[in-house]
Amino acid sequence: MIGLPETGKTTFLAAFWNIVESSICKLYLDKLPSQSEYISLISKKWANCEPLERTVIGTEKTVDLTLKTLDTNETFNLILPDLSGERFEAHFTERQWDKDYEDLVADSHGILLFINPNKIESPILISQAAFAGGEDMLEGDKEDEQIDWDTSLAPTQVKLVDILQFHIDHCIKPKHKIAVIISAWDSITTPSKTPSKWLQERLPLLDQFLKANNDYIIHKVYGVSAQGGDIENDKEILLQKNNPIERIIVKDENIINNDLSSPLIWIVGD
Amino acid sequence: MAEEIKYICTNEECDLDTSGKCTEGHEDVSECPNSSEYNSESLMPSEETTPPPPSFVELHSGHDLIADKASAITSKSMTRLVVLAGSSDSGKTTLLASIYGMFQEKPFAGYTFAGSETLLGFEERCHLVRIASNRTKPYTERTKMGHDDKFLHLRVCKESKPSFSQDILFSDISGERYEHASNSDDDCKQLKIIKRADHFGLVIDGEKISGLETRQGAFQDAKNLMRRCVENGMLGNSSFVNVIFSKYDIYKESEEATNNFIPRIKEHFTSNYEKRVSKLEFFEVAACPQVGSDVPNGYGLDRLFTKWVDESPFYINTQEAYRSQMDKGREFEKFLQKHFKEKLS
Repeated sequence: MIGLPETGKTTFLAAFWNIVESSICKLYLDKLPSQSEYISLISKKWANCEPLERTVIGTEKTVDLTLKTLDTNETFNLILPDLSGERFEAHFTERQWDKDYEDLVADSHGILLFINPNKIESPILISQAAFAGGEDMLEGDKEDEQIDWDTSLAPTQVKLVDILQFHIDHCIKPKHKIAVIISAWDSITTPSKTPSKWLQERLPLLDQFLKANNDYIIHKVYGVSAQGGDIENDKEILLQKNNPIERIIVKDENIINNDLSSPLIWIVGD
Repeated sequence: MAEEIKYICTNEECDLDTSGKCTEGHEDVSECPNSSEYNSESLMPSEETTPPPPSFVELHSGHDLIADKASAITSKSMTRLVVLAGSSDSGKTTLLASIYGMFQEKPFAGYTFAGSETLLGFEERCHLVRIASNRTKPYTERTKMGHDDKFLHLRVCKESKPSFSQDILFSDISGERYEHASNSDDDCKQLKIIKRADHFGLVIDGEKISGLETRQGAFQDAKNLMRRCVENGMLGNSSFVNVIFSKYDIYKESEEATNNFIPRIKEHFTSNYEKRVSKLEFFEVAACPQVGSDVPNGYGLDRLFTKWVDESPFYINTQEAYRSQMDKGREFEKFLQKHFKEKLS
């Protein structure tokens, strides 16, 4: 799972644990993992609509699950390292990563790329802002308050493209699968829009890059709300649901269900 | 009896510990920078062993490419080279930043963005035209001398043909260098990159052209550079020359500029150079119009960019194009290695 900070990676994992124990999922848990403190802790917090702490570099955990597919009864191990978003931000700003990470990705079957639609930094031009808000909005001489350039100021789509370029250059083989997860889908104001259309409109550089590099990357876009709503403002409503997995929203183009395993099944499938 | 000090070597290819001899040729092993005293205690397992530090892999810098990095691209693909020259503040850098900026919004000029090795280079150039800079007026910093031995990179593919990508390298000659080259044969001959360019873009500052006190000087500089490049063999009958009038949003307000002076400039270049180069074309652009202008952002850039990507003086048909480009690519690679390495050594 890769993604900048606060893009929903841990929340996805927490919700996923609940899904694999349910009947709506096309994957089910073949046996309990030998160690499950981390996944149990985060999934309990998720079920209780409690906020999950940010994953910090150095405290990252890997979840290793033995799963079976419902239709073919095949058993496989699903290994999901829950990596900190700061790690990926650092890849972009520091222009280096550790060999262990490279080896991890090289051995993987696919990538889940998380994007939080509420944390997009867009490249808005001064002329666009003036046009939209009127020149009054730009009144006053701000040149002496200029903010100098820093890599951290790059737009979100630029960071994501460069991070994917690192992966193509170093550790993914041709036709590697990437499931793009637009998290917090419940917050999208036009929910009828398909996830792929959302990506095309909000992150056009990334969308072009994914489409142009289909020799290396096969991608699919999902809209996912692992929480089902805002746990700060809608907690009471969310807790009403007897089965918390009913909160989950997974949108695959125009198909909507609760099955968080869909992106994973797509990755491991043919 | 003095205890003999034993040395170990960190160079894997050195067999100091078997033969006792230093591969680097140091008679006194202690003088070799790879050697260190063998301390048996340090090799004993200890209860508090520290794990080795993680090994890091360097990723591409994202900044402008030096010759070595640029040649890595040309050796792998058919690469277009676009060289822009013009006086300081004529808009060369803004032009390139604006093209990149267009892709940030959607596919541009019929092309899809497929990647760039120099995203940070582009981002740095774009920063001061965005609200993230906290400025009220857009601004582009000048290209410094020394930076014009480096390249920006874009990879694009046609929206209708996504499987075929095209790499483009951009070289943006600093205004100072432009001024020196337009006044000196020796300085002009240093700009060997112009000879290899698929497209040579001569950028003429539209703002200066529209000013009565500045237009003659701007025209003179452009004429001088063009003439020097042709006379010194930098441009010739395998050159595509684009004469680019920048800041259209400014000079379009001047009837004198639009109806008289610019046609005069075009007539001069056409009559003197149309038959001496492979192709001579004129473009009017407004890469970053002034705030409040009714000219859209990137005016004219789509036509220019399409020319750069679609056309090259070095091929006629596709098969010949591929063979010729790969040969040119190898020649270009050797050119980069020789020309820039000499400058840097």
